[in-house]
This record gives sequence, structure tokens and C-alpha cells, in this order.
Amino acid sequence: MIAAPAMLSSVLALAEGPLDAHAAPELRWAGLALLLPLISGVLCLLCGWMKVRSKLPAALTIAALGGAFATILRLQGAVGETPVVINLFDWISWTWGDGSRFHGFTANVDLYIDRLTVFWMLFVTGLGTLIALYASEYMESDVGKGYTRFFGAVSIFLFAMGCLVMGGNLVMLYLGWEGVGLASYLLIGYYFTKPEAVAAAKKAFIVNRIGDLGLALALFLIWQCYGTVEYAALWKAIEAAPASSEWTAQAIPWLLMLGAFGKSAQLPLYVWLPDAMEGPTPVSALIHAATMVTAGVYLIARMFPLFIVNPDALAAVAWVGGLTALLAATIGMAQYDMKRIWAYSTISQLGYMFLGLGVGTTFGASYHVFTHAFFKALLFLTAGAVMHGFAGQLDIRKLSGLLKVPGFRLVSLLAVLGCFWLAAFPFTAAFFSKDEILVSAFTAKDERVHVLGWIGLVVAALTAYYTFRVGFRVFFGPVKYEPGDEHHGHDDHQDHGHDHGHAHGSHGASAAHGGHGHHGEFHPHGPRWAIRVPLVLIAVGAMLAGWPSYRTMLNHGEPNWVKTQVAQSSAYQGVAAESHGSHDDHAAAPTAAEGEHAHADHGHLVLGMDAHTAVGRLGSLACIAGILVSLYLHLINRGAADALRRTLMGSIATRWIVVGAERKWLVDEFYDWVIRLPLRLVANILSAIDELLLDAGIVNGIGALPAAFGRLFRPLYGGVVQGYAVTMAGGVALVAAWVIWIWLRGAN
Amino acid sequence: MNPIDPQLPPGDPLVMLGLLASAILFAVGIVGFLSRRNMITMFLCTELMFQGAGLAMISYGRQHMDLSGQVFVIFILTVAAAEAALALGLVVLLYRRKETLSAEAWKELAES
Amino acid sequence: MIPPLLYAASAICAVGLFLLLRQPTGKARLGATILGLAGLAWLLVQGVQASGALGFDPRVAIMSLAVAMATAAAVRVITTTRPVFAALYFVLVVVAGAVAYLVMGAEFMAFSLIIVYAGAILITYMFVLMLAQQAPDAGGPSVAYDRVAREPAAAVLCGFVLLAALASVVGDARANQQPAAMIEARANAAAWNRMRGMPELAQERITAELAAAGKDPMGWSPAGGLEVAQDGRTAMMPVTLADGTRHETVLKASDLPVNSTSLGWELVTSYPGSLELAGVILLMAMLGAVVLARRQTDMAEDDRRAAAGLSRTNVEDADLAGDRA
Repeated sequence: MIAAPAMLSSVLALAEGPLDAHAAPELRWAGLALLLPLISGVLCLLCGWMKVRSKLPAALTIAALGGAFATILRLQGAVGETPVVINLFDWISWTWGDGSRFHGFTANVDLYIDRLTVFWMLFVTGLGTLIALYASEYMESDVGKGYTRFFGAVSIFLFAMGCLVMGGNLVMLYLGWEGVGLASYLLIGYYFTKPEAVAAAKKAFIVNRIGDLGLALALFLIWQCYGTVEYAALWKAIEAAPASSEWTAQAIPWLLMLGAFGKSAQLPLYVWLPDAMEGPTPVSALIHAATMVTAGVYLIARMFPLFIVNPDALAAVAWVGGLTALLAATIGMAQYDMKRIWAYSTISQLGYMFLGLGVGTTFGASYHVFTHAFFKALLFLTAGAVMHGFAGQLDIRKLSGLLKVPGFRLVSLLAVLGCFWLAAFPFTAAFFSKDEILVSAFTAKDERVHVLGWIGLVVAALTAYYTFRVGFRVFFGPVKYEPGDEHHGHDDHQDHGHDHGHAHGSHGASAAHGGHGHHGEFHPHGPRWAIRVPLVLIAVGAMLAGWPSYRTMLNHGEPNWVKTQVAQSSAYQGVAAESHGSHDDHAAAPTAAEGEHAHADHGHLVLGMDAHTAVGRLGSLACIAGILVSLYLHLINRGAADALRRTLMGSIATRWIVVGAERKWLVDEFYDWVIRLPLRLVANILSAIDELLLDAGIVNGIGALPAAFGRLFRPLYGGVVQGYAVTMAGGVALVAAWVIWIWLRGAN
Repeated sequence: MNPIDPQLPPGDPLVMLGLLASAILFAVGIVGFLSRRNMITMFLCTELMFQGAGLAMISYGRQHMDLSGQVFVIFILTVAAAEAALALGLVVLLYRRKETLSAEAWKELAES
Repeated sequence: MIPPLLYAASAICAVGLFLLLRQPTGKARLGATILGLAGLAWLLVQGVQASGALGFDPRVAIMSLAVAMATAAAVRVITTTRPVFAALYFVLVVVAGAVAYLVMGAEFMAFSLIIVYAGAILITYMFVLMLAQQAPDAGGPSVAYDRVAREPAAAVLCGFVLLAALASVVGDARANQQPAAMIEARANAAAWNRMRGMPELAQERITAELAAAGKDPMGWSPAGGLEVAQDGRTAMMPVTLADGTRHETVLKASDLPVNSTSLGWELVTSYPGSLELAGVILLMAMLGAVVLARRQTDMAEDDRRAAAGLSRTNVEDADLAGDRA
């Protein structure tokens, strides 16, 4: 906030900083992408202060985010192949000693603009604008209450995310990192009177702290090893002295990884994300599905030169990603809360992205981030629209056939489309991005990660199954619904898994036909334009996300647009030299004709086919198989699903599968026992020591001494003035006698 | 200890008596202040102490044959007069509040 | 003085005073008085002996009498059960103190003391006693709290430890005394110096001497400053007569300014700032007494504002009322 005036002046002065001579003038306006959300955040603060009771904060936020998006669009046209550093204003610049590389610390408020930055900001600001528009209607029951706070936090989030992505050094990245954490905390705890929301917000914040510790330590070590935290200088330093065998240099990727896993909800630290669904649905869509959680992917992509020199770290990233994808998919299969299923699918898809990073395809990971951002936002927003319309109902067993409910046809249609994308149905955008990752997994130079390709295929099938489990149950079939317990559109749902909603009678009794429920006077209300328009636009975006791949496929050899974006950034530094043996090494020369499908010469064969063909076919197969199973269990014969569950539960040998998946493999409980319980024990012991020994014994004991001493003399001070005078005069007499005695002694 | 040295020149017995009287007056004033309960008498006792101080000034002035001692008695008189005015004003005020001159009627200084 | 004897005498005085304080009207009163006076007498004798002066001096006798009187009156001030008597005994203390001042050569201060203390301050005390005196109760001619001393033992202990300490200093003062001749010489020099600032005194002496010698008492002019003799006891003032001859007038100690003149001169030349401050103190005391002695009424903050001509606030009172409720 304090930085705002300085930033404003430097932006308006058209960035006098050191711009490259050949940089386009549009780049000078890059600061606006940061400044506008900041301004709207400040204005929202003012609105809150002035107790604005209208939709003004939403309008301000949408306008600011739209402006930021326009800025990024301009940048997109202007950004060249070489990164540009734009100095907004100087911030930290300390030197000591002779001021050489290791004798100084510089972290200015710089923007590092390369194609990766702009690419990332493109969907962050674009989706941010659309989701803010969506939220302006979605949150309208809170106008005058939390509305301003909501949009203020969204503005802060966009500002921080901009800092994170566009910052020119690791300190700015770290600030943005913490800023998005703060915004996430504020928005998860938006309904702060609800204990679950408060607990979820705290959980997210604390779990993220663990990751942030890793990031902070990595930052320190990077300065210690390379003497700088500024990207431009850092790449040069790495190029000059790639891999040191010092443990400090070796630890950097591992610590960065920890940070990324915390923010992007990967295996040891993913537990906060499902609970984060306590926040309003637009927040889940924007922060916890599309943008913030991809910060970890961005971090590793941006810092890829540090990873490429450490194959063990890359393998660890791949394994963590693959296992997270599998674990989250299995949990997602057994949940009944729509938002929660999408949350686990987010974790699973993020796992794919990390798998992609781990096997060296920063392009695949970034492309998947890009496609996933659109369709996952779409899925969350449609879930939100349903929830908005059905009074907070999210249980997929209590909603059915929404395609036929008036007012929900468009939403349902878009949601089903989203399901196709999430399931990576052949020739959708996600199909190509997932394909890219799996191919790289199969063809990676590191043999240890090949098995992850198979895991990825299994997860693809599971994804298709659980996606269409929701799709078929909620949007197809007979019309039947039961409203939630929130009759004002709050997404204040209670997530109690399958114990939910008995207060509304049995499931069968609450069936409704033809869109007119006999459930009291409840009428589902369909969304209006402010929800519909962003949904359609996001769906269009999701569709267009596949466009680069279509072009590549049709015009054989044309380089993929996303690939050129990623290739001309630090994310590709060293990828070529390392020669993973995947087709990625062609990206080293993105201007050359790309042999996208020329893999045979690499000798990586999967089932006798070249990897790309095999993955394309197997992936399609897995997807269609998953959809078909889902079709049978959840549309054609819905009873079969319950029967299957009963069968599995019936046998001791298989019972653990159901219980485990439904209870999220008891990871939360495990953390509770292994980490929280010992900590609590130690805390209780220390607290007892503090209370009994320190407080009661030492502090109060010492405090009691003067009191006891004073009680001895209390009779002297009865409140009558002579009592005090006796003390004074007696004291004077004694002191006088003493002094005179000394004096007389001294006289002899 | 300091037995009188016969070699010392003879002192002025008046000074000795004056200083002794001043010490006695001061001590009696203190005793009175501490033991009387009537606020007016207590302030009379402070006047006794002033008397002692004045006598000491005069005596030392004589011992050193210096007029400053007497000048200071003027200032002592001034302070005594000011003190008497304020003290008596206070006494009247306190008497109005509690209708008694006993200093023991005022025990608000006590903690309990 | 020999300290153990001094302490013994102080202790005897203390016991006497303690007995008097505890039973100001009982039978032991006479014995206690005799005991206290004996202790006092021993103390005074020690003091006179300590001065080392031999032979009888009437001034010492008068001084001793005055001191005894002052002490006795002071003891009566603190032992009498009737405040009016206490005030009257205090007048006696002041008078005895004034006698001591006179004997010690401080004539001006002696009379000031009587005028200011016995005249002004004591009259004020009497007025306040009339304003605030309570009617005697059934127990005697005074009020109960006047009849019983408060913790006399502690008070006497405090007072007489202090007395013993102070008396030790008195005894020691002689040991640190400068030779009498030096003191006298310095005092004379100071006195002649003061006289230089008062040329009229010398003029009077010169005029008188010239008139006695049958010369023109006005026909002279100064021929130099006051020349103090070596021993400081005399000074010479040279003048030039009308016929041009030089005349030397010898000034003796008796020509020096009297006590009140000297004191006034000393006060305004050496202590002008303190004098002004004393005036300010008196003025402030007067204002303070006026403020204190006003009849005080309990008014709410708001009423007080109204009485002072300010607007009423009405805010805090409501809040306070709520708090009280």
C-alpha cells in the first residue's frame, strides 16, 4: 500500500528504468497490471470504511481487473523473445565490502517480463475478471455485509499474484507468494462466523507456512550460492557455474519443491485444499483451482535452471506429482460433495502438472495449467451456480437431471462440457496437454519415472470415471432434487459426506418432478446474466485453449503457440542441453520446423508403438472406458453403484478400499496423530511447567515476597498523617545520627 | 570521641546556648507534631520547629559575625507566614468537611 | 561536650517529656517537670562548659534564662490539652526567643519576630481556633482527641535521637572554630565595607567633629576613600578643608552602622533576588489561602461549566449516569 504513490509516479513517468533499447513501448505500461488491482483494493478499503451498501466494490474490482487484463493483452503483443526487466522503483540495495557479487543484496521492485510471465498473467487476469463478474451476482446476498471485504480480498489476491508472477526477483516473488496466501486465508475464512470456515482458513494458512518456510530457506540459499536473487543475474550466475556439489546448492531445488508442494497442494501438504472449499465458490474457482494453486508450477517452471542440474530432485517432483494425482483421484471417486470432488480433481490435475515438470516438459505442465485453469474454473462456477440456485445443495445424491430444470439448462450444458474437458476426452484441450505430459513421462531420459506414465494413464481413467460420476448423476437422469439448508444462496454448505441432509426427510420423499418441487415452496432460481456471461466466456476460453494444438495437428510442423511462450523463458534454460530424449529437445530451436511427431528415432517405444501414438490411443481408451463405467453405474443403473459399494464393504479383503477412499485414506487423522498430538502433548507439558513452576512458583512467589514484607510494616501506615511523619522523622533522626557519628569518628 | 581540647580558644557561651536551644525547640516541635492529634496544635508545632531553625541561624550568624544569618531569618519568617496562611486555610477546609480537627479523622491514605 | 554525658542528659529530658505527654494532668506531673528541667539544666551547663569560657557573664545568665523559658513554654505547647493555651504558650516561646536574639545582638530580628509571630501569625491561629474549635466534651475542659497524646513513646524517641545528634554538632562546632581574631577581622572588614556604601554616616561624623573643633562644619570635601586601620578596629577618612588644609577624621567601631541599618543594607545588596522571591511566595500564599478558604460547593462538571459561562455539554453526564446505574 505504501508503495502505491511511488509506483503510480513511476508508471505515469513511463518507467524511466533501464529498459532494453529494442523493447516495445507497450512494455512500459506493464506496471499497470499490478497497479490497477492495488488501486481497486485501496478503493475497496475506502468503500468498507465509508460503509458502501451497493455493488460498487464489485464494479471497481471488475473494472480494475479488466484493465489489468487489457494491459496484459497489450503486453502479449509486445513481448519479444528476450526478457525485459522494468524497474518500477528502487527498494533494497545494500552493499558491503567491495560490493562485488557476494557483497551486496539487491531487490528492487522490478518486473521481469518474458513470455512465460505474460502467458501466466494472461489467464490469471482474464479468469480473474470473469470470475469477479460472476461473483458480483453470486455474492449479492452479502451486499452491505461482506461484499466489500470479498472484492477487496480478490483485488489483493490479483495484486499479489501479479507480484508473484511478474516480480523481477525472488523477494518480490516471495512477497507475492505470501500475499496470495493472505488473500487465500481471508477468502477461505470469508464466512468467519462459521467454525468450519475458520478452521479451514487456519489450516490452509498453517500448512502453507510449512511450504513457505522451504521457499524462504531456498531464497536464502540461492543468495548464498549465487550471490543474487534477481532473475536476470541469477540465470547468468547459473550458466557460469551450473551445479555445485555443496549441500547448500543441492538443497535449493528440494526446498523450492517444498514451497511449491505447499502452495500447489501436493502430497505431503495437500490437505488444506479440500477444506478450502469452505470459502465462497468463486474463490474456489479463482484461487483454489485456476490461479493460486498453479503458483507452485510457476515457481518450478521459473526456477527450472536450478532443477535441471539435479535429476534426483526432478524425479522426486515427478513421483510426488504422479502419486498425488493417483491418491487424489481415488479419494475423488468416493466423495459425494460436488465441490469437494472438484477440489480433489484439482489436486489430481496439479499432480499431473508436477509430473510434467518432473519429467522435464515445462511446456506440458504449463499447457496443462492453462487448459485446466479454464475448465476447472468452469466446473467450479457451474457447481456454484447450482449451489446458488438450490440453496446450498451440493450432494450429488440429492441432485439429478438438472439439464431438464428450467433456468439451469445452460449451466448444465456447460458443466457437462467441462466434464468432457476434465476427463480429457479425445481432441479436447486437456487431452493434448495431458498427452504432452504422459508422452514425456514415457520417453524421459530418467528410467525411474517411466512407470509414472502408466500411473498417469490409470489416473486418466479414474478421472474420467469420477468426473462423469458427477456429470451423469447431477445433470442427467430423472429430475429430482432436494434443496440445501441455505435459503438465501449462501454456499454455507455443511460438508458431512454421506451423513448429510437428513433433516429434510428421506431421499425418496423429497423427489420433485417437472421442475416444480413439492418440497415446501422451494423453487430453484436460475442464474442471471452476470453468472451466465462469464460461464459462456470461460467455456469459449476452454475451447480455444485447444486451438494451438489443433493448429499444430493440422498444419504439421507449426510450432505450438504455448510452447513458444514457454520456450522463450527461463523454463527452457538447460532443457535442451540436458537432452531428455523427449521431443522437448526440439524446443531448443523453436524457430526451426518442429518435428512434433518424429519420435521414432528416440527409440522409446510403448507397446511397440511410438510414444506419442501409444499415449494418444491409450489415453483415449482410458477416458472412454472410465466414461462408460460411469455411464453404467451412475446413469443407466444407479442401483448398481450402491450394490457395488455394498459388495466391497461386505468383504474384509476389499472393505478397506471403500472406507479408505471415503475417509480420504485417513491422511488428516494420520497428521493429527503423528504431528498434532505430539505437539499438543509437548505444549501441554510446557504450559504446565509455565503455569506451575514459572508463573505460580517463580513469578508469583517473587511477587508475594514484597507483599509479605509489606504486611510486616502495615501497622505503621494506618492512614493517619502522623504515622507517616513518625517514619519520616525517625528516618531523618537515624540518618542524621549515623552521619554525625561518622563525622565525629572522622574528626579524630 | 571528641573531649574538649583545653588548647582551643574559648568559644562564645551565647552561641552554645543558642544552638542548644534551637536543637531543643526543633526536637520538641517534632515530638509535638508526632504526638498531638489536633491539627492546629500540629501546625503550632511546625512553628516551633521554625523557631528552632531561626535561633540556629542567629547563633551561627553570631559565631561567624556575619549578617547573613539574620537575613535568612527574614526569609524563614516569610516562609513561616506563607505556611501558616496555607496550613490554616487547609485546616479550615478540612474542618468544614468533617466537623472535627482531629487528624485521625482523615485516614484515606491507608490502603485498607 | 562529652557525648555520653550529652546523651544521658538528652535521655533524662526525653523521659521527662514522655511522662508529661502521657499524663499531662496527673500527679506525676510535678516529678516529670522537675526531671525534665534537671535534664535541661544539665544540658545547658554542659553547653556553657563546652564553650570553654570562664567567669560570670550577665548575658549568659539572661540567655540561659531565656532558653529555659523557651524550652519550658515549648513543652507546655505540646503538653497542654487546650489548643488556645498552646497558642498562648507559643507566644511565650516567641518572646523568649526574641530575648535570646536580643542578647545575641540581633535587635532588628528580635522585634520583627515578636511583631510577625506573636503579632500576626499567632493572631491568625487564634482566629482559626475560634472558627474551628469544637465544644469541650464531658471528659474535661477540652475535646477528647486533645487530651490523649498519640504514641508519645515513638514521638519522643524520634525527637530526642534527633536532639542528641544535633547537640553533638553543637559540641563539635567549637572544635572547627576559626581563631576569634580572624573572624573579628573579617567581620570588621565587612562592616567598614558596608560603611563605604553609606557615605552619609561618615559625613555626619566629620561634620560633628568639625563643629566640635570650631571649624566650618560644611566647608570640606573628601580627599580619598575610607582607609581601614591594620587591626580593622578603626578607620580614617581624609578630607580637605576650605582653607586647603588636610584633616583626618578617625572613625571608631561605635561609628559603624547599627544592626538594623546593616541588616537592611545586607538584605538589599546581597540578596535582592531572594527578597523578590520572598515577596512572590507571600503573594502566592495569599492567593492560595483565598482559594482554599472559599466555601466549596459540590457541583457537577456541567453545572460548573454553566456557572463559568461556558456551554453545557450534557454528554458525559448521561454516560456517567449510565455508568452509575
